[in-house]
Amino acid sequence: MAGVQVGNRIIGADAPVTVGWENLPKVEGGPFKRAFFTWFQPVTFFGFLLFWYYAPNEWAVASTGIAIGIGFKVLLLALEWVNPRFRSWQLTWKELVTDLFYVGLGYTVLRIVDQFIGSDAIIGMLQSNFDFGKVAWFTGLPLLLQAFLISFVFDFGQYWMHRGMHNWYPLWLTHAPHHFITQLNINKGAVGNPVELFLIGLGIGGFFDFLPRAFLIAGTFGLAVSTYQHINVRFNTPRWWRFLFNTTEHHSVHHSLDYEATRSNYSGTWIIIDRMFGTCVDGEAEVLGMEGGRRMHIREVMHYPFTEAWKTLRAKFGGGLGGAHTAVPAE
Amino acid sequence: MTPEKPRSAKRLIDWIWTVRDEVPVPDGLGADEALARVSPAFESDGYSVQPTGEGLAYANPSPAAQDTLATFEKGALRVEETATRRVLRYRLTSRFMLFCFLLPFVFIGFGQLTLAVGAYQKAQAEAKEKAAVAKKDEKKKDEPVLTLHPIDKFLGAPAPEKPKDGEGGSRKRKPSATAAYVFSGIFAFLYLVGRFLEPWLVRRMFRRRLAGES
Repeated sequence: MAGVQVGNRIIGADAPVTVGWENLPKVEGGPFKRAFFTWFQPVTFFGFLLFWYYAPNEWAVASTGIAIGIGFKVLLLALEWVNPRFRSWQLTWKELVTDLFYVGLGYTVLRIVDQFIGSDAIIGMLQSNFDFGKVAWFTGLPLLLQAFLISFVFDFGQYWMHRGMHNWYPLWLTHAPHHFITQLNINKGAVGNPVELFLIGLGIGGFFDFLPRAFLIAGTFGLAVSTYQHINVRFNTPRWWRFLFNTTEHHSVHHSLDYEATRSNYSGTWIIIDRMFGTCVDGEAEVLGMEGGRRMHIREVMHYPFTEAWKTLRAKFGGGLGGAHTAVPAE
Repeated sequence: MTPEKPRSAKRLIDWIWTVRDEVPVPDGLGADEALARVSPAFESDGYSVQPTGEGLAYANPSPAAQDTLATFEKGALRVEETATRRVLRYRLTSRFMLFCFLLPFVFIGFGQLTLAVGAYQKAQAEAKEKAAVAKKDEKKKDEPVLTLHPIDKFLGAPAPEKPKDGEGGSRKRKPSATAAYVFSGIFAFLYLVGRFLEPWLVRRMFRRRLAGES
């Protein structure tokens, strides 16, 4: 495959990647369907923004956010049924059970771990030791500005953590199982080794006890933007949206079977961060995964980082046997 | 059909992960031709196929996501004659289906673990409080800013409220097993759906292939 030059890289030499927004298919169907899937993303985004901005204080709590999030995901699952991007990504029974297993882990076991060594522990420490009066300069800013800064700064950190996962072998081992997914569906963001889910899962839920509104509004960016990363729905995404925000198309390029394409579009919400650092590729891909597109089962996902690390160490220090490790980032 | 072992206790429960069914072979189709029509289903990467007399046995530890047989990692098929017609009889086994059957119990376990950990942490916190009762008050911290910016006031955003006494600065999320129980219920439901849906899809696939449809 010849691939397409993007900056100083060739994208799509190993596996097909459609580069350029003008080459992407549009939503097909009647005028209502086309209008719906053109405006769905911005309308829900501003709708959620307005909700959290104006909701009475009794409603502006984490549990409301969780309930809305779950309801929204169910709606998005229905949209996958109605207007899938690719038939080859159809959600099967086995895929649904697998995805929900990982989602369930996040709501149960990972939450227990978080209390001891994860986000909850960190947030608890911050709340008891950190003097929030000292950041009055921030909490006195307009709410929407606070929300934007929280979302952007958080995603900036996520961008570099994600880029680090694709460039530093120990972090890559935790992230690699997620890249074995061969299709995108709404819950596929949860699929991966728990160590990775724990690393990227620094939640802001613990801050919800006081002055939470800016964080709840910031959460809207996650709910109404980055939630689409793994969705199997065809949108006619508005130009301004895909300039600023990460889209399902961007993320499909990141999950492509093409190696160079995976080294793109690292951000979770703000694709403009990728534009800033030259890692943005506008386009989409259908053929996803790694190692020829083999599906990794749950058992292997759980032990992969450890067994691969063992093979690598044995090859490096064990003398001669050589473990064939295939998950190697560039450089 | 590959002879099964004599009836044992395992046969009483293997319906959980085993499907035994048959599909009629169209009239005029011989056994060899019937097998030839269904065998392309086992030609994708990862399949190992073994002919067995009037049939075949297959295994695929990691089937592709969109494979109709993705749920059933092993199976055996055989064309047999009944009193009235020829049928393709098959037995398929699914470790994944067994996994789904067990998940409700696993998540109930996670729920109990959550409660146990919560009780442990509560006991720890109480012990710490008792030990610290003689200590002076913790150092005074500035209150968080609780006034809205003028722009937000102008736009009509609700004014923030001071955290209730006793809750300020500390997290009061009680450990709850609700999420675990909800997922347990979801997987129980999904198992029932899958136990009927997946065999139906496989049966449809075999029927279509025998009929010569693509």
